[in-house]
Formats: sequence, structure tokens, C-alpha cells
Amino acid sequence: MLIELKSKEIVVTITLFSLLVVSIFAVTSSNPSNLSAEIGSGIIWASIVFSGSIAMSKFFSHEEKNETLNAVLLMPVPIELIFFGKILSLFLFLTISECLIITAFSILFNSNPLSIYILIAIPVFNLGFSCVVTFFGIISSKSRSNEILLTLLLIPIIIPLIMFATELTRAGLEGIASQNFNLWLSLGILFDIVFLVVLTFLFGKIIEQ
Amino acid sequence: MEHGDSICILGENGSGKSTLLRIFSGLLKPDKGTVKVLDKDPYKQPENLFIKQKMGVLMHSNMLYPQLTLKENLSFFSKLLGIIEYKTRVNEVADELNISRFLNIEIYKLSNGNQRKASFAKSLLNDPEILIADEPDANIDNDTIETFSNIFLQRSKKSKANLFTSHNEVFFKKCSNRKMKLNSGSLSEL
Repeated sequence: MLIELKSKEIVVTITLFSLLVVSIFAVTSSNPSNLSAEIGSGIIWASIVFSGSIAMSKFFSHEEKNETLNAVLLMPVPIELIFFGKILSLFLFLTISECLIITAFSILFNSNPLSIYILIAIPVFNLGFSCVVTFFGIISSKSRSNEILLTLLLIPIIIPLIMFATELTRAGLEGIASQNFNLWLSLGILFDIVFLVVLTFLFGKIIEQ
Repeated sequence: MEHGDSICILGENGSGKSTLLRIFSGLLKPDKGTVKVLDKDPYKQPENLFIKQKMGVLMHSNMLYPQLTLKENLSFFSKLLGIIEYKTRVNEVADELNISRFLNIEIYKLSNGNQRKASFAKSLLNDPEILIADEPDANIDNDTIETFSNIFLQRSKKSKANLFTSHNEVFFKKCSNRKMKLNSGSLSEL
């Protein structure tokens, strides 16, 4: 977390890349103010997912190159705590980036996605995403083509979370109550719990091996 | 390996010295056989936490965060080691290795030799019972080799163990009381 506070690499990469994606859609759209809620929510979350995976593969390749993860693993700290620490820091930086992206989206598309739905979608999505990206980021950092590998491993697994986040954001953009809000929220939380429990267990096993 | 032993593992490039040290430190699991460090298994939680508390490791790579200053690096690892008076300890090891003037400088700005000293300082933070060092004398000048040698000798006098590899004859002759050769996967005492 200290490194990111100094370098701001993750936040800058995620925010800049996402802003570029959102800007391209804004300038290529004939009438940005009339953008459908469905496409708008897709733009927001697609840009976050892709920029997040690029930023994280860069971050973990630095860790691999400098062997700093090994340095931490040599310390008398339970492996699970190391995993949770990484998830927590990514969660925080992702949230900061998303606030900036949503602000930019509001300005460029003259629409306000900020609603109770997106305020719920952000933490639930971020927890699951941070969990999966940390796990696969560490695994894929051993590979030469880690940037592509991380994205390829990450996206199929977090599709349910992307669906959850886009559904809630769409409801927020349309300004109407989501019909299946409880179902989507339960699905999002369920995936978070499964990712957290299963990947924490697997992370310990992989490191031990 | 007994208390106070200072063992140097010799061998040609690629003979497996670094791999052996990685196995002892718990970073690599052996394909077969068992390893006991301080009578405990270095690969099993939570008993390996005890070993990690008592072990210092200096590998080929310096294992430091390049964007952070030397002080930030040493303070971070001291906290992970549970050192309560970590500020004092950071200053002590920095003084011992003559790198106090670099404490507020980012690691990537330091020369290779000073990065090596910084990494050595990290491995000494917990005053380890066992020091595992892979070519500690790599990339350093003669004065620093002298400083490192003195630290190895002082540690042996305090009944602390050192296990290291080196290609520098002056260094390993001065620092070790036992020498072993690793050849075709087998270790023999010289």
C-alpha cells in the first residue's frame, strides 16, 4: 500500500485507461446524453475490468521481478494474512479509481450513474475482483505473457460479478427500481464469499507447493 | 548443523547451491526427502512461522521494494518480524553495515553494492539464529567484504549459525569453520 501511495501506479493506470475508453465512446457517440443505460453500464464496467487487469499484471510482474513477494513470504506472517493484505489494498485503490471514472462518465455523458445501486455494486464487485485478480495475478506473474494470461484467466471467472455490477448500474442509470435486486445482490455476495474462501485456501496450498 | 557453525557450500555454477538454500529457507519444496530446520518443517504452517522468526535470508536477488527508501524497506520488514523497537533496530543494522547515510534514499537509486548491503541489513534485522546467504559477497568491494566477514565471525562467536555459498576464496576461508562441496546432487564435507 505504501508503494502505491508513493508511485500511484495502480490508480493512475486504471483511471487513465478507463478514462480513455469512456472518452472514446463519448466522442464516437452521436448523442452521448441519449446513451442507453444498458450500454452505459457496459462501458463503465468493461473499462474497469480491462484497466484493472492491466494494472494488476504490471504490479505483480514488478513483484516477481524484485522477488518482493518471496521476501514477504519469508516473514513470520500467515500466508492468508498476506493474501488478505493484498486484497484490501487493491480494493481501496480500485474504489478510488472507480469514483474518478464514474465522475468522468457523468460529465462526458451528461448522466448521473450515482445511485444506491452503484454504491452497493462497487464494494461487492471490488471484493470479488480483488480476490480473483490477486490470486491469478500471482500465478500468472511467473509467465512471460502474464498480461494476456491474467486477462484470459480473470474474465471468464468474474463474468457473474460483471453481470451483477452492470445490472445494478443499469438500474441506477435508468432511475428505476431493479426488479431482481435481491437476486442479483445475493448472487454477488455469494460469489464474493466463494472466491474469498476457495481462493484463500488455494493460495495457501499453491504457496506451500 | 550445530550452533555457531559457519558452513560454506561450494560448487560449480549450476550445481544447485542456490536451490539448496531456497529449500532450507522454505521458498522451495523438495521433490523428495525431508528437511528439518530448528527441528521443524519449513513448509508447514504454523510451525514454519517459528523458523521464519529465527531465520535471516539473503538471496541472489535483493528482495527489496525499489520504490521505497532504505528506511521504509527496513521498517516494513521489521514490523513483519514483530520487532517492537523497530526504529532503533533499523538504525543499528544500518550503522553496522555503514549505510546510515542512505536511509532516506530509494533503493533503485543506490549502487548494486549498496543494494547488497541493504539486503544484508534486512536479513540481520531479527538477529537470526540461522543466516542463509547466497553469495553474500557478490557485487561488493573489498572493504564491504571485510565488514560482511566480521559480521559472520561475530555471529559465530555468539553461537549463531551461518549457511552460505561463495566463490570468493578469501571470504569463505575467513568466514567458515566447515566447507562442503555440492557435486552432482550430493553434498560432501571437505
